Amino acid sequence: MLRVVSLGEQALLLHWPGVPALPQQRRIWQMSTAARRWPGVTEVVPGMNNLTLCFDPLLVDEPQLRAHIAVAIHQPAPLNDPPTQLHVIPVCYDGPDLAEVAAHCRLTEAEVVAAHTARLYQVFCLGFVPGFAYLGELDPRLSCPRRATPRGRVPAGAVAIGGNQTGVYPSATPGGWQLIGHTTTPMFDQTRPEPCLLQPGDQVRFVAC
Amino acid sequence: MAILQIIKSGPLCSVLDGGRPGHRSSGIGQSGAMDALSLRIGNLLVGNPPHAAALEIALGNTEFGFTASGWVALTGSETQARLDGRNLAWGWCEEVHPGAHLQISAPRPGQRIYLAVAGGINTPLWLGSRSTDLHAGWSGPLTAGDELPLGVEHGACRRRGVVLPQPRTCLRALPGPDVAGFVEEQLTEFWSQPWRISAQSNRMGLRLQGPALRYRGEELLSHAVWPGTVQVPPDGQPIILGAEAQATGGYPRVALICSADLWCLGQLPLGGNLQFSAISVADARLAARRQLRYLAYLAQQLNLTDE
Repeated sequence: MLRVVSLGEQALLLHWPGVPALPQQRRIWQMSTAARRWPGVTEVVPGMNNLTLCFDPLLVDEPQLRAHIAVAIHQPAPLNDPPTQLHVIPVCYDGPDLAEVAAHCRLTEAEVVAAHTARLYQVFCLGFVPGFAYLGELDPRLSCPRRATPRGRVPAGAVAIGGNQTGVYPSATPGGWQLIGHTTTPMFDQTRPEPCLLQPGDQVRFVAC
Repeated sequence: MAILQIIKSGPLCSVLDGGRPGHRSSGIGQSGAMDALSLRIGNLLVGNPPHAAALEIALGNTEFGFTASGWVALTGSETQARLDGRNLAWGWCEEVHPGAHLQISAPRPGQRIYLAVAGGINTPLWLGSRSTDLHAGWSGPLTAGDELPLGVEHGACRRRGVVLPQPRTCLRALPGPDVAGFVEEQLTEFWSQPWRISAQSNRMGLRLQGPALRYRGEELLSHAVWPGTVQVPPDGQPIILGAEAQATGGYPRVALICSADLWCLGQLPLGGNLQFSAISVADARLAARRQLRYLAYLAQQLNLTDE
């Protein structure tokens, strides 16, 4: 059941229970698209199993927004994903944690690479740092915990696994995920009108090079 | 073209304005001045639009040179400032002449000074803002030798001043969405006891020291956060997110500072204490409206129209 709670003075938090999964995330994308059109809504931020709506209390109040949400939630589930792009990202699988991940998953390094490149991922949402895309769904065989001690600096372009998720670090930043490779494809470029390469709903395939 | 010369920058002197809210869904935080109220008052004094870019000085002694005539104002934490050897009053619009030399003494760690210049600082825009963003690698702290172009003056300045507001040490806040994951006794402690502001605090957030708060709720996944969100990381020591906080987070949210008190996050001294005080949504919005009325009143008294 969707939970809607007040968040501070001028935001609502919509929270979907359960493990993040594509059908639920499609609902979140659908609600995001609808909410961006409601008068008074100033910002819409999809998360992994949640959606934050910021609003201007001079233009709309909470009961009005809750009424919009109640209507939107009863729309039929989307049949198709929104129009999106497919990104093929070349990866050099030489990450410092590849051996450790293979050992944890009881696979050979080659099997880890095969499992990582076999799936077609979808961008669930962005967050953490500019242009960081949370990708799902990772092959459950590759699931592994975050590092006990996060690195002070993960290099830009690092391809990583954390828990049940995988992603690419767009820029050098502290990080706790397991690094299995790197790509030179720029995930984030300030000079572009749309600086983030990956958008929610986009599909991603990794290719070993 | 008028230039603001950085002669001595100190380690943390940056160009900041009202920030770039609205891009959290790209993982881009809003940045902007840590004490947006003092920025706004400074801009009012020199006839700028309220969110025009100014310098935020957070550490170290600084010195500036001016190549052209203009007007400046100093707001935020009061220290010693000298313009061509003459002491400057805080909260006043002052005229500078070509070749003028301005020295400002270091603020206390955790406190910030705003140097507003008539016309605003005219560095490049990104997503509508001139503010630095360290996560995105946009701009950064200034160094000696930097030369900043200034914009054209908006309003006719004259020598005028205002009494500056004093920051609160008791921050009014709304309960966060994850309070159910904390036991009642710990929540009572959170709201009633003084918290020490650690020396590890910075623009990303104020790290607080006190009894550890233990979260027993379900694990949270990535969600939007903003300045004023009070998170509780695994070590149990709360963090109040600041202007340069990331766009999303995953730690439990125990409280959210009301918008009217956010400016205080830029003025509380490190090593000092703060407390939290619960406020209702209605009272939080009332406080926000009062602050807008205060700024409108200042603008009227300064014979300007605020936007």
